[in-house]
Amino acid sequence: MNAAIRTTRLTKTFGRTDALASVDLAVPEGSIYALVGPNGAGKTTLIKLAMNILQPTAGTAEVLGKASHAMTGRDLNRIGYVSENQEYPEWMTVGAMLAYLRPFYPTWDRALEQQLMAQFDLPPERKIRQLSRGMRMKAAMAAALAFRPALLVLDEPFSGLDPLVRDELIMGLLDRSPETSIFLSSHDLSEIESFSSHVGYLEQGRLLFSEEMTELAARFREVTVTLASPAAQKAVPPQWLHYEASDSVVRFVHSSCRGEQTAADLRQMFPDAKDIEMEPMPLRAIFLAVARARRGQRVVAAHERSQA
Amino acid sequence: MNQAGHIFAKDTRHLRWEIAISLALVIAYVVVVPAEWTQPLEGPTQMVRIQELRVLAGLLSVLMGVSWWILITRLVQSESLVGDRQWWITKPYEWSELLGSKLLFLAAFIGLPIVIAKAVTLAEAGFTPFAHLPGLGYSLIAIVAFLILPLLAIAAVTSTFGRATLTTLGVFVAFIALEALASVFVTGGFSVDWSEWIVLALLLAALCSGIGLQYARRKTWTARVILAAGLVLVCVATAVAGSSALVAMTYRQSGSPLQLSYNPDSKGSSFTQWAGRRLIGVSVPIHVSGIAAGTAVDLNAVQVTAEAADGRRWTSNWVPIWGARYRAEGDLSVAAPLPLQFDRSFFAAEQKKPVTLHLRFAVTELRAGTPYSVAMPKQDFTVPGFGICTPVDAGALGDYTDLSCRNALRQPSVTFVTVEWSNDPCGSVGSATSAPVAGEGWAGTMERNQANFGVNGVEEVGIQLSNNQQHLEGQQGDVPRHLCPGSPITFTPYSLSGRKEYDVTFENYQMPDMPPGYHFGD
Repeated sequence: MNAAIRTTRLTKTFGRTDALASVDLAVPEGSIYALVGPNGAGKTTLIKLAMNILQPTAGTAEVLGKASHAMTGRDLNRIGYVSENQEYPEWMTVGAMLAYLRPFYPTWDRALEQQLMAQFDLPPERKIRQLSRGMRMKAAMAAALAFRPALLVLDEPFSGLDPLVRDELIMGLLDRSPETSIFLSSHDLSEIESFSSHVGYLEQGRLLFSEEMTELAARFREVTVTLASPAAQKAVPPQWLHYEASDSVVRFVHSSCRGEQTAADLRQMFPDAKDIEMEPMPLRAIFLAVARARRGQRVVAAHERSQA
Repeated sequence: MNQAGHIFAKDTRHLRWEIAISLALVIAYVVVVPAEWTQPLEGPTQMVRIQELRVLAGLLSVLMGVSWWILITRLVQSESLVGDRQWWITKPYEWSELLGSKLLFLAAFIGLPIVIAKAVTLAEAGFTPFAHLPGLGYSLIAIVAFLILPLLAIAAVTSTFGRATLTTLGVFVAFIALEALASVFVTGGFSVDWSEWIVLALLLAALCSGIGLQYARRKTWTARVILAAGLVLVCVATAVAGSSALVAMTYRQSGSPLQLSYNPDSKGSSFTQWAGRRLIGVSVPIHVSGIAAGTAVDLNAVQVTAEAADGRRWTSNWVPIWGARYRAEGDLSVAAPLPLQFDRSFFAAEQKKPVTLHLRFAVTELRAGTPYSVAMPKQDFTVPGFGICTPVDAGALGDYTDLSCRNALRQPSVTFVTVEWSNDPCGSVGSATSAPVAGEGWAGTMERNQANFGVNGVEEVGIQLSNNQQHLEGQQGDVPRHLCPGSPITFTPYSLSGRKEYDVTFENYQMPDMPPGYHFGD
């Protein structure tokens, strides 16, 4: 698999704080890869390392086949970048900004630029400092899409936008895929669920998983086992998250579900089960389950350390 | 259009008002300054007007400096190199093109206007600008090294205009403080003249490295360290430039017949000039004699080692001597006050006791060239190698009382000027009552700078001619003598012959008293 972005043991520390800890990640070409995680998880740091805005403490990042630390300006003419907290040339009008950027990109498409201006309803004569947050993001997105980039990197692009603007931006993105690989970060799961093909979950600088959205959705199931008699205490496999047993009902999140095979395994484990339900989970529920499980593990580990 | 040109066009559009203000100030300066030479130097009213124009030109110079500072900072920070949120760093900018665009901008809107302004002022002052292209080139290099690059470097390692302003002030204060410290503790204020080239080279190296690194890698802290190290190195170089080793390297020991002797009787005795916390400044009268015919000597600096009767010794730094230039012709045994420095505690301990002074002099020897003589004209006249001089009429029309001279880009080389003063106003028929009075004075410098710093291409050449005043019976104060048309004026150029060190010992020297109001406990 060719990767638009590949990181190998990518690590970044700021003083004594580990912002990223040995992250291995691959963004397949043509994919829409969503990097999700809570605030402060290290998403922006990872993106800035990939864009050569920051230098890694250890490890490497490759972007479109080139080590990010060796990227020059010329390499950026295939990469679009939009961030929620970028400092834009406030004094320029939208039209002047696009006109200024045009000569930087050999692949700039004037027709596409016009199309994006119309699609995003951008006022060409208005100065950027006079734009609302949503309009500003749309202007930035137009500038990042008009040269048909091979890779589009978006750092929290939808943060704080109203649903209408968000949908317009998502439509703009979907129009470019799969011609353009898209790598975006977000802490809002619901907004990326509808259009992402791949997802990675970052928490406290560690990548907990990274896989195709369909695989992820298939892998996680909310399992409810109704038993004929009260459940006996038993050892819980590590892939069962949030295991709860009350009277004759057992509930947990299965994180390695394999369809019928898993159902057969469960029937074997619960021979007196009257009913076994395996419900698909929305992305938000999956991440909450994983995050809570991680938090629980950390609490246990901390407790064990304090006992030791 | 290449990237540099494209960015340049954007910056020009963005900073058009700053550019317009900066250019307007340069144009105003170029209009104001030449009035000094283009208008006749006649009468007190005109002289007052010229003084006003000089004040205005000074004000415009300050405003020009401020406008360049704002222009450079805004230019560099329009693509700020500090931080990780700038829009441009994720666009396909090539750092060399970006830096090139900024340099192109600075050349177009600061460098070129300065060179043009210098050329215009030269032309207005009667010089041919094309004859001074190397000097104009040097001037541009100096402006780049001492003005443009330092401001560019500061803007490149700061994120906002406010921070750049504070940093500029901080660097200025640090530089002054380091120079003052070096002057007090290391150099005594003297430095060998070629050290300026070392300072220039160090400054350029530090600035170019810091700026280049910041543009190529955006390693802000590394760039800051390089620039700070450069500042310290420049100060160290300045300090070392007055060290005994460098003075010894520049001024070789000599067995010349030049005689320097202590002369307490000629023009007053030795006296204390000033008293600081560490040092005491003392003026010591000396005789200078033995200057070979056709030559002159310039006492550049002195280092004193004072030796007490009990063997205690104290050695000063090399201290500059100002205006101590003597020639063989005329008075072969001239008296001059020598500025010496002594350690305060040594000075206090050796009061009223005889001490021995071992003096080392750094002396520049000058050789006289072919004199140029001219009968005083009524209008501007050119002195080859010296510049253009204008008779100054401070009173009635046609009655000249002084010479005002100017040269292109720099002071002329050292020149001895002689005139014949008339006690009577020029053109006063039948009223000549006395013989002409000889007047003389030095002008020019031995400094090797090819051009001055700033926008004005013309250097005013100061000549302090002796005997320019006379006392008339029944009048209060002195009145000026007159330089009448037709009277002879001679300009004798001097060139560098050598740099020598002369060692002299004054036995039984007695330290003078402290100046009134000073006490040893202060």
